[in-house]
Amino acid sequence: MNSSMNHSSAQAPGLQAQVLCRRYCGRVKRSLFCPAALRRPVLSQLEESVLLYLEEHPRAGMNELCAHFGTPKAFAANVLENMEGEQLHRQLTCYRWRRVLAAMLVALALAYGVFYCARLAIDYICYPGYGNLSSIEEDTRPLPTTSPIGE
Amino acid sequence: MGVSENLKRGVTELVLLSLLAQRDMYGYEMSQELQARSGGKFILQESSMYPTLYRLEDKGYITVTKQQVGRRRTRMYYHLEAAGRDYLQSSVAEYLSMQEGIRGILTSCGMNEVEPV
Repeated sequence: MNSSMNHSSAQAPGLQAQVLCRRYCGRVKRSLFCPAALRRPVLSQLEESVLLYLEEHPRAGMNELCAHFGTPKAFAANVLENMEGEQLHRQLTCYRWRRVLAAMLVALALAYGVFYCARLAIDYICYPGYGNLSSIEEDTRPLPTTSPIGE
Repeated sequence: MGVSENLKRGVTELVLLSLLAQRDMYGYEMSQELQARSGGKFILQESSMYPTLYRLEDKGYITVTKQQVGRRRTRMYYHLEAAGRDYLQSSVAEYLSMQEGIRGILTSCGMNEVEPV
């Protein structure tokens, strides 16, 4: 574990290195079109590798990172190229029922929304006086003194 | 994809498992070790290594343990399992056998005098 001891005893990456690492990994993430279950570990490991590289090369910038790891697009393309079709298929079909259930719930919510709006429109058109709005008129007549119900 | 990339693809599993047979390692360490031990002749980029490692993990040849190395930093150490050792043994035997066969073909075609890069 000599090299790992060397890495752990090296200076922790500074703020600039962390910013550079996040920038590089962010660009890789944007190009890495694969299921999240495969993307997450790749990005997690990449982040650690980039930080280790920057610990060893404190003056390195984006150009040096691209020279070592490849440009973000090339990195993502290489990862996808090296993934087995079977791996991708398994991740895509995994938890498919969740996606189906979510799609059904969205469809039901949309259908209910359409039905509710249609009902409001029908009530407005078919029943005159439904929701009539008029300006308020002040009634200045005196209040009646006798009871409205005949005695 | 160039010739060298195609050749590398075929032996990536072999070299990674060989390293893990020595001791547990993490990704960056493995790429550095491969470069150092091959004298700079075998450079395996992380982008090619990670999918291979996941494939080996899926098959049960290696296992992963996460180790916290700092605030919000985790390092993934890979460990070779018994099934992985068996697979490595058979892969090495197959590779050496194939290497011998290819050398025989190249020699018979008069290619044994070509200087390596």
